[in-house]
Amino acid sequence: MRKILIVDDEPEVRRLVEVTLRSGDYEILQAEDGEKAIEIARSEIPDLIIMDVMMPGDIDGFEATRILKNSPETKAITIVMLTARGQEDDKEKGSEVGADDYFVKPFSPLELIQKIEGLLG
Amino acid sequence: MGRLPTLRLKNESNLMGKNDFSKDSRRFSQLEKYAQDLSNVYRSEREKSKKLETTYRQLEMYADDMNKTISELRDSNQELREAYLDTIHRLVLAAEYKDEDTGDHIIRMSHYSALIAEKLGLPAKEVQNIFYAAPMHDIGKIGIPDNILMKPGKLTDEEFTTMKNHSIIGANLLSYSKSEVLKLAEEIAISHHEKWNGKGYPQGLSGDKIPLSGRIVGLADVFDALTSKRPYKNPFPVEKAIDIIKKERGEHFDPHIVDVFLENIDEILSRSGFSIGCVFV
Repeated sequence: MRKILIVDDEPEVRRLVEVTLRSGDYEILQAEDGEKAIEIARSEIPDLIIMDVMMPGDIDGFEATRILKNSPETKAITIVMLTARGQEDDKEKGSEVGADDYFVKPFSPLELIQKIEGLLG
Repeated sequence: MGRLPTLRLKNESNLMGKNDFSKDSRRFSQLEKYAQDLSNVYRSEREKSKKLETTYRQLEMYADDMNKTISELRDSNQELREAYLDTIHRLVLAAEYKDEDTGDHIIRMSHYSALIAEKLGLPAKEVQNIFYAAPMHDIGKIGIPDNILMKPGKLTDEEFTTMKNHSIIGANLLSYSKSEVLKLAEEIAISHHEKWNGKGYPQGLSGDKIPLSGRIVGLADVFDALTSKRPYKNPFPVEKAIDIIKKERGEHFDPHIVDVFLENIDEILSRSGFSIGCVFV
């Protein structure tokens, strides 16, 4: 079973993404900030991470992505950034830190499912 | 916030001494605290409503996707149903191919059957099921030897006994299906040669013991056979066919179905001109 880690500071968003991905055969993990995300990513090595950009704490989504993409043991993990609508700079910054793809909030659940199926092959 | 300076001025105009001033000053700082709290509440309310707006937008996305999914599901269900009915139709055509290569008889008799069912007051869904199941009534003929099936003259007793097997063969072919249409087709296949007076086959059932679908299709089948050309006969005029049906009222056929059939004969005849293209799907 493929493992997906959902990183967002809002529990409602994490739950929404989890419920949306329930139609697929995935094991879902959750983290509420960048630090936890890195910790879980290192111990669980998920196949894919859905990473919110804006998170409180020392490590935001960009920084967490940069750290994971620069570590040999986690750099193979596919990372999709969740960016707020209208924040066009986020997409560029996301690809700069090594994100594989991005997704805009509010998101279309069908597109999210398709994108993740596409990325996981 | 804009009201605060006014309050302060009012307080200052009441100045009477140092004690009063410090009292006023305390009152003022209390007011300032309230104003600060109000401002905080306002800010948090604004954030909440912003969050609510974001949530609504997300909800809208879900609603849109749900509608999209439902309509796609509906389309693919419809397509599947059409393919299913089309497949049944082609199997029936294959089974009938030796008898006649156009399938006109089964198309006409299906329309007659559905119309009788409708006029008997059956629910629309059952009428539709009869329409789709009736074409399969003779599918068991696929198991009857050609020399009997295609014999131009009258069948011998022995040949007729073999011929009768087609209703059992048909029911066997259609048995154990989960499909409502195929279950009904099985019922029709086994019972469409039963007679109201109990002299039919294969079980010799009589009256209400014969399933309604079999009684309906039995009449529609005979009427179309009478008015069509067959290897052993020319088509009878409609009047002659009606006379035969009337004579068999309460004998071969359910009297009530005969009455309903005759009451609606004009509408029934107007349905005999259907071509293959407009029937299924």
